[in-house]
Amino acid sequence: MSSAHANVPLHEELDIRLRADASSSGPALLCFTCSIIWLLVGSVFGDVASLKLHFPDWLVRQGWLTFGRVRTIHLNTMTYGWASLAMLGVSLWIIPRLVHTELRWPRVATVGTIVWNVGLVIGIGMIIAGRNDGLEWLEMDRYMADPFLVVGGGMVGITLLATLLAGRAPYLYVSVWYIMGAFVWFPVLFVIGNWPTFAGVESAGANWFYAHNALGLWLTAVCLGAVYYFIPKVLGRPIYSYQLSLLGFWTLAFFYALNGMHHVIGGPLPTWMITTSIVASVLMVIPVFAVAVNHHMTMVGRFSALRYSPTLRFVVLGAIAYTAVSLQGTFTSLREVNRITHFTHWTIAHSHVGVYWFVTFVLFGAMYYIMPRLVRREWPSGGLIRWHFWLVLGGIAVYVIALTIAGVAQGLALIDPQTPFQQSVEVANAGMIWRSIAGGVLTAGHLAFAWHFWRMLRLREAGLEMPPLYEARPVVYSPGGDGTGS
Amino acid sequence: MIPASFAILVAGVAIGVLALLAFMWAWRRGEFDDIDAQSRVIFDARDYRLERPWETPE
Repeated sequence: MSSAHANVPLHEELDIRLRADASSSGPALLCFTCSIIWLLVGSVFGDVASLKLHFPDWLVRQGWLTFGRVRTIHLNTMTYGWASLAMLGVSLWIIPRLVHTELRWPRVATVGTIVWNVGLVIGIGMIIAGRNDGLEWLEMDRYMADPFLVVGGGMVGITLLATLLAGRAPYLYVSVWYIMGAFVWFPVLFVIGNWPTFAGVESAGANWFYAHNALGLWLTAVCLGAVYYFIPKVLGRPIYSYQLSLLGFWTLAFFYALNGMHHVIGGPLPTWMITTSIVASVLMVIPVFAVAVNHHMTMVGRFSALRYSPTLRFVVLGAIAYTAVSLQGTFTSLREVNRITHFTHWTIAHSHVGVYWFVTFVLFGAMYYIMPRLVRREWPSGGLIRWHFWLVLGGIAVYVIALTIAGVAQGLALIDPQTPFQQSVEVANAGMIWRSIAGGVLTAGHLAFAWHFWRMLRLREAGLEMPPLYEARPVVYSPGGDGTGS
Repeated sequence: MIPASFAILVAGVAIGVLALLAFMWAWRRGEFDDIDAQSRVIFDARDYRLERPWETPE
Protein backbone atom coordinates (compact mmCIF):
# COMPACT_ATOMS: atom_id res chain seq x y z
CA MET A 1 0.00 0.00 0.00
CA SER A 2 1.61 3.22 -1.07
CA SER A 3 1.80 6.34 1.01
CA ALA A 4 2.20 9.93 0.01
CA HIS A 5 4.41 10.48 3.07
CA ALA A 6 6.68 7.44 3.03
CA ASN A 7 9.85 9.50 2.62
CA VAL A 8 8.98 12.59 4.70
CA PRO A 9 10.02 12.59 8.36
CA LEU A 10 7.21 13.26 10.81
CA HIS A 11 8.74 16.42 12.21
CA GLU A 12 8.93 17.89 8.71
CA GLU A 13 5.30 17.04 8.05
CA LEU A 14 4.23 18.74 11.26
CA ASP A 15 6.43 21.72 10.50
CA ILE A 16 4.79 22.12 7.09
CA ARG A 17 1.37 21.94 8.69
CA LEU A 18 2.21 24.41 11.46
CA ARG A 19 3.66 26.90 9.01
CA ALA A 20 0.64 26.54 6.73
CA ASP A 21 -1.70 27.19 9.65
CA ALA A 22 0.32 30.16 10.87
CA SER A 23 0.40 31.75 7.42
CA SER A 24 -3.36 31.60 6.98
CA SER A 25 -4.38 32.45 10.54
CA GLY A 26 -4.71 36.23 10.03
CA PRO A 27 -6.98 36.31 7.00
CA ALA A 28 -8.90 33.19 8.07
CA LEU A 29 -9.65 34.64 11.51
CA LEU A 30 -10.79 37.90 9.93
CA CYS A 31 -13.12 36.00 7.61
CA PHE A 32 -14.59 33.96 10.46
CA THR A 33 -15.08 36.98 12.72
CA CYS A 34 -16.84 38.96 9.99
CA SER A 35 -18.93 35.97 8.98
CA ILE A 36 -20.27 35.50 12.49
CA ILE A 37 -21.22 39.17 12.73
CA TRP A 38 -23.15 38.85 9.48
CA LEU A 39 -24.72 35.61 10.76
CA LEU A 40 -26.19 37.49 13.71
CA VAL A 41 -27.34 40.40 11.54
CA GLY A 42 -28.93 38.04 9.04
CA SER A 43 -30.60 36.04 11.80
CA VAL A 44 -32.30 39.12 13.22
CA PHE A 45 -33.56 40.22 9.82
CA GLY A 46 -34.74 36.69 9.11
CA ASP A 47 -36.70 36.59 12.36
CA VAL A 48 -38.32 39.96 11.60
CA ALA A 49 -39.25 38.84 8.07
CA SER A 50 -40.77 35.63 9.41
CA LEU A 51 -42.83 37.43 12.06
CA LYS A 52 -44.20 39.80 9.46
CA LEU A 53 -45.77 36.91 7.58
CA HIS A 54 -48.25 36.29 10.39
CA PHE A 55 -48.17 39.78 11.94
CA PRO A 56 -48.52 41.74 8.69
CA ASP A 57 -49.26 45.06 10.43
CA TRP A 58 -46.08 44.96 12.52
CA LEU A 59 -43.30 47.45 11.69
CA VAL A 60 -44.92 48.86 8.59
CA ARG A 61 -44.43 52.59 9.18
CA GLN A 62 -40.77 52.66 8.17
CA GLY A 63 -39.90 51.78 4.61
CA TRP A 64 -36.69 50.00 5.53
CA LEU A 65 -38.61 47.63 7.80
CA THR A 66 -41.07 46.46 5.18
CA PHE A 67 -41.00 42.79 4.23
CA GLY A 68 -39.56 43.38 0.78
CA ARG A 69 -36.41 44.93 2.18
CA VAL A 70 -36.09 42.93 5.39
CA ARG A 71 -36.31 39.56 3.65
CA THR A 72 -33.88 40.70 0.97
CA ILE A 73 -31.40 41.85 3.59
CA HIS A 74 -31.69 38.46 5.31
CA LEU A 75 -30.95 36.59 2.09
CA ASN A 76 -27.97 38.72 1.11
CA THR A 77 -26.37 38.86 4.55
CA MET A 78 -26.69 35.10 4.95
CA THR A 79 -25.39 34.26 1.47
CA TYR A 80 -22.67 36.85 0.94
CA GLY A 81 -21.98 37.74 4.56
CA TRP A 82 -22.16 34.59 6.63
CA ALA A 83 -21.77 31.72 4.13
CA SER A 84 -19.39 33.26 1.62
CA LEU A 85 -17.06 34.84 4.18
CA ALA A 86 -16.93 31.66 6.25
CA MET A 87 -16.16 29.75 3.05
CA LEU A 88 -13.37 32.18 2.23
CA GLY A 89 -11.91 31.53 5.66
CA VAL A 90 -12.20 27.76 5.31
CA SER A 91 -10.59 27.91 1.87
CA LEU A 92 -7.72 30.08 3.09
CA TRP A 93 -6.98 27.54 5.83
CA ILE A 94 -7.51 24.29 3.91
CA ILE A 95 -5.66 25.01 0.66
CA PRO A 96 -2.23 25.71 2.24
CA ARG A 97 -2.61 22.52 4.28
CA LEU A 98 -3.54 20.44 1.27
CA VAL A 99 -0.79 21.72 -1.00
CA HIS A 100 1.79 21.57 1.81
CA THR A 101 2.97 25.15 1.67
CA GLU A 102 2.37 28.46 3.32
CA LEU A 103 -0.37 30.78 2.14
CA ARG A 104 1.06 33.19 -0.39
CA TRP A 105 0.33 36.92 -0.07
CA PRO A 106 -1.79 36.71 3.12
CA ARG A 107 -2.04 40.50 3.27
CA VAL A 108 -3.70 40.50 -0.14
CA ALA A 109 -6.25 38.03 1.21
CA THR A 110 -6.80 40.22 4.28
CA VAL A 111 -7.35 43.32 2.15
CA GLY A 112 -9.63 41.32 -0.14
CA THR A 113 -11.74 40.29 2.82
CA ILE A 114 -12.04 43.91 3.94
CA VAL A 115 -13.01 44.99 0.41
CA TRP A 116 -15.67 42.24 0.32
CA ASN A 117 -17.11 43.52 3.59
CA VAL A 118 -17.14 47.10 2.28
CA GLY A 119 -19.16 45.93 -0.70
CA LEU A 120 -21.58 44.14 1.58
CA VAL A 121 -22.09 47.18 3.77
CA ILE A 122 -22.73 49.33 0.71
CA GLY A 123 -25.07 46.78 -0.83
CA ILE A 124 -27.07 46.16 2.33
CA GLY A 125 -27.20 49.88 3.03
CA MET A 126 -28.61 50.54 -0.41
CA ILE A 127 -31.24 47.82 0.03
CA ILE A 128 -32.25 49.45 3.32
CA ALA A 129 -32.54 52.74 1.44
CA GLY A 130 -34.77 51.08 -1.14
CA ARG A 131 -32.25 50.52 -3.96
CA ASN A 132 -32.63 46.98 -5.25
CA ASP A 133 -31.54 45.48 -8.58
CA GLY A 134 -34.69 43.37 -8.63
CA LEU A 135 -32.88 40.07 -9.28
CA GLU A 136 -33.14 37.20 -6.84
CA TRP A 137 -29.79 36.62 -5.07
CA LEU A 138 -28.41 39.69 -6.92
CA GLU A 139 -30.31 42.47 -5.22
CA MET A 140 -27.23 44.43 -4.21
CA ASP A 141 -26.48 47.29 -6.57
CA ARG A 142 -24.43 46.02 -9.49
CA TYR A 143 -22.54 49.29 -9.98
CA MET A 144 -21.97 50.45 -6.42
CA ALA A 145 -21.68 47.28 -4.34
CA ASP A 146 -20.97 44.29 -6.57
CA PRO A 147 -17.62 45.54 -7.91
CA PHE A 148 -16.29 45.43 -4.35
CA LEU A 149 -17.33 41.77 -4.09
CA VAL A 150 -15.69 40.98 -7.41
CA VAL A 151 -12.44 42.73 -6.44
CA GLY A 152 -12.39 41.39 -2.88
CA GLY A 153 -13.23 37.84 -3.89
CA GLY A 154 -10.73 38.06 -6.71
CA MET A 155 -7.98 39.08 -4.32
CA VAL A 156 -8.66 36.07 -2.13
CA GLY A 157 -8.83 33.83 -5.19
CA ILE A 158 -5.50 35.09 -6.47
CA THR A 159 -3.77 34.29 -3.18
CA LEU A 160 -5.21 30.79 -3.30
CA LEU A 161 -4.09 30.35 -6.89
CA ALA A 162 -0.58 31.55 -6.04
CA THR A 163 -0.50 29.14 -3.10
CA LEU A 164 -1.68 26.29 -5.32
CA LEU A 165 1.00 27.00 -7.91
CA ALA A 166 3.68 27.05 -5.20
CA GLY A 167 2.38 23.85 -3.64
CA ARG A 168 4.56 20.85 -2.93
CA ALA A 169 1.97 18.14 -2.41
CA PRO A 170 2.44 15.11 -4.63
CA TYR A 171 -1.25 15.13 -5.62
CA LEU A 172 -4.19 17.50 -5.62
CA TYR A 173 -6.65 16.07 -3.14
CA VAL A 174 -10.29 16.17 -4.25
CA SER A 175 -11.01 19.06 -1.85
CA VAL A 176 -8.53 21.20 -3.77
CA TRP A 177 -10.46 20.53 -6.97
CA TYR A 178 -13.76 21.46 -5.38
CA ILE A 179 -12.50 24.64 -3.74
CA MET A 180 -10.40 25.93 -6.63
CA GLY A 181 -13.20 25.05 -9.03
CA ALA A 182 -15.53 27.20 -6.96
CA PHE A 183 -13.13 30.15 -7.18
CA VAL A 184 -13.04 29.79 -10.98
CA TRP A 185 -16.80 29.33 -11.39
CA PHE A 186 -18.10 32.00 -9.03
CA PRO A 187 -16.60 35.09 -10.73
CA VAL A 188 -17.86 33.87 -14.11
CA LEU A 189 -21.35 33.30 -12.74
CA PHE A 190 -21.40 36.60 -10.87
CA VAL A 191 -20.47 38.61 -13.93
CA ILE A 192 -23.00 36.81 -16.16
CA GLY A 193 -25.75 37.17 -13.57
CA ASN A 194 -25.12 40.90 -13.23
CA TRP A 195 -24.70 41.54 -16.95
CA PRO A 196 -26.83 44.66 -17.57
CA THR A 197 -28.02 43.97 -21.11
CA PHE A 198 -30.40 41.12 -20.19
CA ALA A 199 -34.00 42.29 -19.98
CA GLY A 200 -37.46 40.83 -19.61
CA VAL A 201 -37.73 37.06 -19.84
CA GLU A 202 -34.05 36.76 -20.76
CA SER A 203 -33.26 38.46 -17.50
CA ALA A 204 -35.20 35.78 -15.65
CA GLY A 205 -33.21 33.10 -17.42
CA ALA A 206 -29.90 34.79 -16.65
CA ASN A 207 -31.00 35.41 -13.05
CA TRP A 208 -31.71 31.76 -12.35
CA PHE A 209 -28.66 30.63 -14.30
CA TYR A 210 -26.69 32.61 -11.75
CA ALA A 211 -28.74 31.83 -8.64
CA HIS A 212 -28.82 28.08 -9.03
CA ASN A 213 -25.21 27.84 -10.06
CA ALA A 214 -24.21 30.02 -7.13
CA LEU A 215 -25.76 27.29 -4.98
CA GLY A 216 -24.10 24.39 -6.76
CA LEU A 217 -20.79 25.75 -8.04
CA TRP A 218 -19.99 28.12 -5.18
CA LEU A 219 -21.71 27.19 -1.91
CA THR A 220 -21.92 23.44 -2.58
CA ALA A 221 -18.47 23.12 -4.12
CA VAL A 222 -16.57 24.70 -1.24
CA CYS A 223 -18.62 22.87 1.37
CA LEU A 224 -18.24 19.48 -0.33
CA GLY A 225 -14.52 20.15 -0.44
CA ALA A 226 -14.66 20.76 3.30
CA VAL A 227 -16.69 17.59 3.93
CA TYR A 228 -14.21 15.49 1.95
CA TYR A 229 -11.44 16.83 4.16
CA PHE A 230 -13.00 16.80 7.61
CA ILE A 231 -14.76 13.43 7.65
CA PRO A 232 -11.68 11.32 6.85
CA LYS A 233 -9.39 13.63 8.80
CA VAL A 234 -11.33 13.36 12.05
CA LEU A 235 -11.98 9.63 11.61
CA GLY A 236 -8.36 8.96 10.73
CA ARG A 237 -9.43 6.86 7.77
CA PRO A 238 -9.28 7.66 4.05
CA ILE A 239 -12.46 8.31 2.16
CA TYR A 240 -14.23 5.06 1.25
CA SER A 241 -13.70 5.33 -2.51
CA TYR A 242 -11.48 8.00 -3.93
CA GLN A 243 -12.58 6.99 -7.42
CA LEU A 244 -16.15 7.83 -6.45
CA SER A 245 -15.06 11.20 -5.12
CA LEU A 246 -13.49 12.02 -8.47
CA LEU A 247 -16.62 10.85 -10.27
CA GLY A 248 -18.70 13.09 -8.03
CA PHE A 249 -16.58 16.16 -8.68
CA TRP A 250 -16.23 15.81 -12.43
CA THR A 251 -19.90 15.02 -13.07
CA LEU A 252 -20.83 18.04 -10.94
CA ALA A 253 -18.49 20.12 -13.08
CA PHE A 254 -19.92 18.79 -16.34
CA PHE A 255 -23.66 18.81 -15.59
CA TYR A 256 -24.42 21.39 -12.94
CA ALA A 257 -24.31 24.56 -15.04
CA LEU A 258 -27.35 23.53 -17.09
CA ASN A 259 -29.66 23.16 -14.07
CA GLY A 260 -30.73 26.73 -13.55
CA MET A 261 -33.83 26.90 -15.76
CA HIS A 262 -35.70 24.45 -13.54
CA HIS A 263 -36.51 27.47 -11.40
CA VAL A 264 -38.71 28.86 -14.17
CA ILE A 265 -40.62 25.74 -15.12
CA GLY A 266 -43.93 26.89 -16.52
CA GLY A 267 -42.54 30.31 -17.33
CA PRO A 268 -42.38 31.94 -20.79
CA LEU A 269 -39.04 30.48 -21.76
CA PRO A 270 -38.43 28.05 -24.61
CA THR A 271 -39.55 24.54 -23.69
CA TRP A 272 -36.28 23.03 -24.87
CA MET A 273 -34.34 25.19 -22.43
CA ILE A 274 -36.48 24.10 -19.51
CA THR A 275 -36.40 20.47 -20.59
CA THR A 276 -32.60 20.68 -20.80
CA SER A 277 -32.52 21.87 -17.21
CA ILE A 278 -34.82 19.06 -16.09
CA VAL A 279 -32.60 16.48 -17.78
CA ALA A 280 -29.51 18.05 -16.19
CA SER A 281 -31.29 18.01 -12.83
CA VAL A 282 -31.98 14.30 -13.16
CA LEU A 283 -28.37 13.66 -14.24
CA MET A 284 -27.31 15.27 -11.00
CA VAL A 285 -28.35 12.03 -9.32
CA ILE A 286 -24.96 10.66 -10.42
CA PRO A 287 -22.72 13.03 -8.45
CA VAL A 288 -25.17 13.18 -5.57
CA PHE A 289 -25.21 9.40 -5.13
CA ALA A 290 -21.45 9.24 -5.57
CA VAL A 291 -21.02 11.72 -2.75
CA ALA A 292 -23.69 10.13 -0.56
CA VAL A 293 -22.31 6.60 -0.90
CA ASN A 294 -18.81 7.82 -0.27
CA HIS A 295 -19.64 9.73 2.87
CA HIS A 296 -21.91 7.06 4.28
CA MET A 297 -19.54 4.18 3.67
CA THR A 298 -16.67 6.17 5.18
CA MET A 299 -18.75 6.66 8.29
CA VAL A 300 -20.15 3.13 8.53
CA GLY A 301 -19.01 1.51 11.77
CA ARG A 302 -17.80 4.85 13.12
CA PHE A 303 -20.97 6.83 13.75
CA SER A 304 -20.10 6.70 17.45
CA ALA A 305 -17.47 9.28 16.60
CA LEU A 306 -20.27 11.84 16.55
CA ARG A 307 -20.32 11.62 20.37
CA TYR A 308 -16.80 12.93 20.52
CA SER A 309 -16.37 15.39 17.71
CA PRO A 310 -18.37 18.60 17.24
CA THR A 311 -16.84 18.85 13.80
CA LEU A 312 -18.18 15.47 12.79
CA ARG A 313 -21.61 16.17 14.28
CA PHE A 314 -22.11 19.20 12.12
CA VAL A 315 -20.27 18.00 9.01
CA VAL A 316 -21.93 14.57 8.86
CA LEU A 317 -25.42 16.01 9.36
CA GLY A 318 -24.61 18.62 6.77
CA ALA A 319 -23.48 15.95 4.32
CA ILE A 320 -26.72 14.04 4.89
CA ALA A 321 -28.64 17.24 4.22
CA TYR A 322 -26.71 17.68 0.98
CA THR A 323 -27.98 14.36 -0.27
CA ALA A 324 -31.51 15.15 0.88
CA VAL A 325 -31.67 18.60 -0.68
CA SER A 326 -30.15 17.41 -3.96
CA LEU A 327 -32.61 14.54 -4.35
CA GLN A 328 -35.40 16.88 -3.30
CA GLY A 329 -34.29 19.29 -6.00
CA THR A 330 -34.28 16.58 -8.64
CA PHE A 331 -37.73 15.49 -7.55
CA THR A 332 -39.04 19.07 -7.51
CA SER A 333 -37.75 19.75 -11.03
CA LEU A 334 -40.21 17.23 -12.48
CA ARG A 335 -43.13 19.13 -14.00
CA GLU A 336 -45.85 17.17 -12.21
CA VAL A 337 -44.30 17.89 -8.82
CA ASN A 338 -43.35 21.44 -9.69
CA ARG A 339 -46.94 22.39 -10.49
CA ILE A 340 -47.74 21.90 -6.81
CA THR A 341 -44.56 23.19 -5.16
CA HIS A 342 -43.71 26.20 -7.29
CA PHE A 343 -44.40 29.60 -5.69
CA THR A 344 -45.00 27.99 -2.28
CA HIS A 345 -43.26 27.74 1.05
CA TRP A 346 -41.94 24.34 -0.05
CA THR A 347 -39.28 26.22 -2.00
CA ILE A 348 -38.25 28.12 1.12
CA ALA A 349 -38.00 24.89 3.08
CA HIS A 350 -35.93 23.38 0.29
CA SER A 351 -33.59 26.35 0.12
CA HIS A 352 -33.03 26.26 3.86
CA VAL A 353 -32.20 22.54 3.78
CA GLY A 354 -29.52 23.52 1.31
CA VAL A 355 -28.13 26.80 2.55
CA TYR A 356 -28.65 26.11 6.25
CA TRP A 357 -28.75 22.41 6.99
CA PHE A 358 -26.02 21.61 4.48
CA VAL A 359 -23.87 24.73 3.97
CA THR A 360 -24.17 26.33 7.40
CA PHE A 361 -23.81 23.08 9.32
CA VAL A 362 -20.66 22.20 7.35
CA LEU A 363 -19.25 25.67 8.03
CA PHE A 364 -20.00 25.36 11.75
CA GLY A 365 -18.22 22.01 11.80
CA ALA A 366 -15.28 23.40 9.88
CA MET A 367 -14.91 26.31 12.27
CA TYR A 368 -14.99 24.00 15.28
CA TYR A 369 -12.02 22.17 13.78
CA ILE A 370 -10.07 25.11 12.42
CA MET A 371 -10.31 27.65 15.22
CA PRO A 372 -8.23 25.74 17.82
CA ARG A 373 -5.54 25.34 15.18
CA LEU A 374 -5.51 29.03 14.41
CA VAL A 375 -5.48 30.41 17.94
CA ARG A 376 -3.47 27.54 19.45
CA ARG A 377 -5.92 26.78 22.25
CA GLU A 378 -9.03 24.67 22.64
CA TRP A 379 -12.65 25.85 22.74
CA PRO A 380 -13.46 26.96 26.31
CA SER A 381 -16.81 25.25 26.85
CA GLY A 382 -18.23 21.87 25.90
CA GLY A 383 -21.60 23.02 27.22
CA LEU A 384 -21.86 25.89 24.76
CA ILE A 385 -21.04 23.53 21.91
CA ARG A 386 -23.87 21.24 22.99
CA TRP A 387 -26.29 24.16 23.32
CA HIS A 388 -25.32 25.43 19.90
CA PHE A 389 -25.68 22.01 18.29
CA TRP A 390 -29.05 21.07 19.73
CA LEU A 391 -30.57 24.51 19.27
CA VAL A 392 -29.70 24.76 15.58
CA LEU A 393 -30.54 21.13 14.88
CA GLY A 394 -33.92 21.41 16.59
CA GLY A 395 -34.59 24.77 14.97
CA ILE A 396 -33.85 23.71 11.41
CA ALA A 397 -35.78 20.45 11.78
CA VAL A 398 -38.91 22.27 12.93
CA TYR A 399 -38.37 24.92 10.27
CA VAL A 400 -38.14 22.45 7.40
CA ILE A 401 -40.99 20.21 8.52
CA ALA A 402 -43.34 23.15 9.12
CA LEU A 403 -42.65 24.86 5.82
CA THR A 404 -42.76 21.64 3.81
CA ILE A 405 -46.22 20.80 5.12
CA ALA A 406 -47.35 24.40 4.69
CA GLY A 407 -45.96 24.51 1.17
CA VAL A 408 -47.75 21.37 0.01
CA ALA A 409 -51.04 22.54 1.52
CA GLN A 410 -50.57 25.95 -0.05
CA GLY A 411 -49.73 24.47 -3.46
CA LEU A 412 -52.72 22.15 -3.49
CA ALA A 413 -54.98 25.08 -2.63
CA LEU A 414 -53.41 27.26 -5.32
CA ILE A 415 -53.91 24.81 -8.16
CA ASP A 416 -57.54 24.11 -7.22
CA PRO A 417 -59.68 26.53 -9.25
CA GLN A 418 -62.57 26.12 -6.80
CA THR A 419 -60.47 27.34 -3.86
CA PRO A 420 -60.19 31.09 -3.25
CA PHE A 421 -56.68 32.48 -2.97
CA GLN A 422 -57.31 33.54 0.62
CA GLN A 423 -57.60 29.90 1.62
CA SER A 424 -54.11 29.17 0.30
CA VAL A 425 -52.83 31.84 2.68
CA GLU A 426 -54.82 30.58 5.65
CA VAL A 427 -53.76 26.93 5.30
CA ALA A 428 -50.13 28.00 5.52
CA ASN A 429 -50.52 30.30 8.52
CA ALA A 430 -49.71 27.65 11.11
CA GLY A 431 -46.51 26.91 9.23
CA MET A 432 -45.59 30.60 9.35
CA ILE A 433 -45.97 30.63 13.13
CA TRP A 434 -43.85 27.50 13.51
CA ARG A 435 -41.25 29.05 11.23
CA SER A 436 -40.96 32.07 13.51
CA ILE A 437 -40.57 29.83 16.54
CA ALA A 438 -37.92 27.80 14.75
CA GLY A 439 -36.18 30.95 13.61
CA GLY A 440 -35.99 32.17 17.17
CA VAL A 441 -34.44 28.88 18.25
CA LEU A 442 -31.89 29.12 15.44
CA THR A 443 -31.00 32.66 16.45
CA ALA A 444 -30.48 31.51 20.03
CA GLY A 445 -28.08 28.87 18.73
CA HIS A 446 -26.22 31.48 16.72
CA LEU A 447 -25.89 33.68 19.79
CA ALA A 448 -24.45 30.77 21.75
CA PHE A 449 -21.93 30.12 18.98
CA ALA A 450 -21.01 33.79 18.65
CA TRP A 451 -20.53 34.17 22.40
CA HIS A 452 -18.36 31.05 22.50
CA PHE A 453 -16.31 32.35 19.55
CA TRP A 454 -15.86 35.66 21.36
CA ARG A 455 -14.75 33.94 24.55
CA MET A 456 -12.18 31.94 22.65
CA LEU A 457 -10.84 34.75 20.57
CA ARG A 458 -10.90 37.84 22.68
CA LEU A 459 -11.16 36.79 26.27
CA ARG A 460 -8.35 34.31 25.75
CA GLU A 461 -9.73 31.96 28.36
CA ALA A 462 -7.77 28.87 29.03
CA GLY A 463 -9.12 26.14 26.84
CA LEU A 464 -10.14 22.73 27.96
CA GLU A 465 -7.30 20.27 28.43
CA MET A 466 -8.64 18.07 25.68
CA PRO A 467 -11.11 18.64 22.84
CA PRO A 468 -14.41 19.54 24.50
CA LEU A 469 -16.50 16.51 23.63
CA TYR A 470 -13.65 14.02 23.78
CA GLU A 471 -14.22 11.70 26.69
CA ALA A 472 -11.18 9.52 26.31
CA ARG A 473 -7.64 10.71 26.01
CA PRO A 474 -6.08 9.33 22.81
CA VAL A 475 -3.31 6.82 23.34
CA VAL A 476 -0.29 6.83 21.12
CA TYR A 477 0.75 3.37 20.13
CA SER A 478 3.14 1.79 17.72
CA PRO A 479 1.65 1.27 14.26
CA GLY A 480 1.14 -2.13 12.74
CA GLY A 481 3.28 -3.60 10.01
CA ASP A 482 1.74 -1.60 7.20
CA GLY A 483 1.97 1.68 9.08
CA THR A 484 -1.73 2.36 8.83
CA GLY A 485 -2.43 2.08 12.51
CA SER A 486 -5.22 -0.46 12.07
CA MET B 1 -33.71 32.86 -35.66
CA ILE B 2 -31.61 32.18 -32.58
CA PRO B 3 -33.27 33.35 -29.35
CA ALA B 4 -31.29 35.88 -27.34
CA SER B 5 -31.61 33.63 -24.28
CA PHE B 6 -29.59 31.03 -26.18
CA ALA B 7 -26.61 32.84 -24.67
CA ILE B 8 -27.41 31.30 -21.28
CA LEU B 9 -27.29 27.80 -22.69
CA VAL B 10 -23.99 28.60 -24.38
CA ALA B 11 -22.65 29.84 -21.04
CA GLY B 12 -23.78 26.65 -19.35
CA VAL B 13 -22.16 24.47 -22.01
CA ALA B 14 -18.99 26.57 -21.90
CA ILE B 15 -18.64 25.92 -18.19
CA GLY B 16 -18.96 22.21 -18.89
CA VAL B 17 -16.34 22.40 -21.64
CA LEU B 18 -14.02 24.24 -19.26
CA ALA B 19 -14.46 21.37 -16.84
CA LEU B 20 -13.65 18.89 -19.62
CA LEU B 21 -10.43 20.71 -20.43
CA ALA B 22 -9.48 20.74 -16.76
CA PHE B 23 -10.18 17.01 -16.59
CA MET B 24 -7.93 16.32 -19.55
CA TRP B 25 -5.18 18.46 -18.01
CA ALA B 26 -5.46 16.56 -14.76
CA TRP B 27 -5.26 13.25 -16.62
CA ARG B 28 -2.13 14.25 -18.47
CA ARG B 29 -0.57 15.58 -15.26
CA GLY B 30 -0.92 12.14 -13.73
CA GLU B 31 -3.53 13.10 -11.16
CA PHE B 32 -5.30 9.76 -11.61
CA ASP B 33 -2.20 7.53 -11.58
CA ASP B 34 -2.16 6.57 -7.91
CA ILE B 35 -5.63 6.88 -6.47
CA ASP B 36 -4.76 5.20 -3.21
CA ALA B 37 -1.93 7.60 -2.48
CA GLN B 38 -4.17 10.54 -3.29
CA SER B 39 -6.74 9.47 -0.74
CA ARG B 40 -4.04 9.49 1.98
CA VAL B 41 -2.39 12.79 1.13
CA ILE B 42 -4.34 14.57 3.90
CA PHE B 43 -2.81 12.38 6.60
CA ASP B 44 0.57 12.44 8.21
CA ALA B 45 2.22 9.61 10.09
CA ARG B 46 0.95 10.94 13.42
CA ASP B 47 -2.66 10.57 12.31
CA TYR B 48 -2.10 6.83 11.96
CA ARG B 49 -0.55 6.52 15.40
CA LEU B 50 -3.45 7.89 17.43
CA GLU B 51 -5.94 5.45 18.88
CA ARG B 52 -9.44 6.73 18.54
CA PRO B 53 -12.20 5.65 20.94
CA TRP B 54 -14.65 4.89 18.17
CA GLU B 55 -12.34 2.36 16.58
CA THR B 56 -13.20 -1.21 17.45
CA PRO B 57 -10.11 -3.08 18.71
CA GLU B 58 -9.18 -5.92 16.41
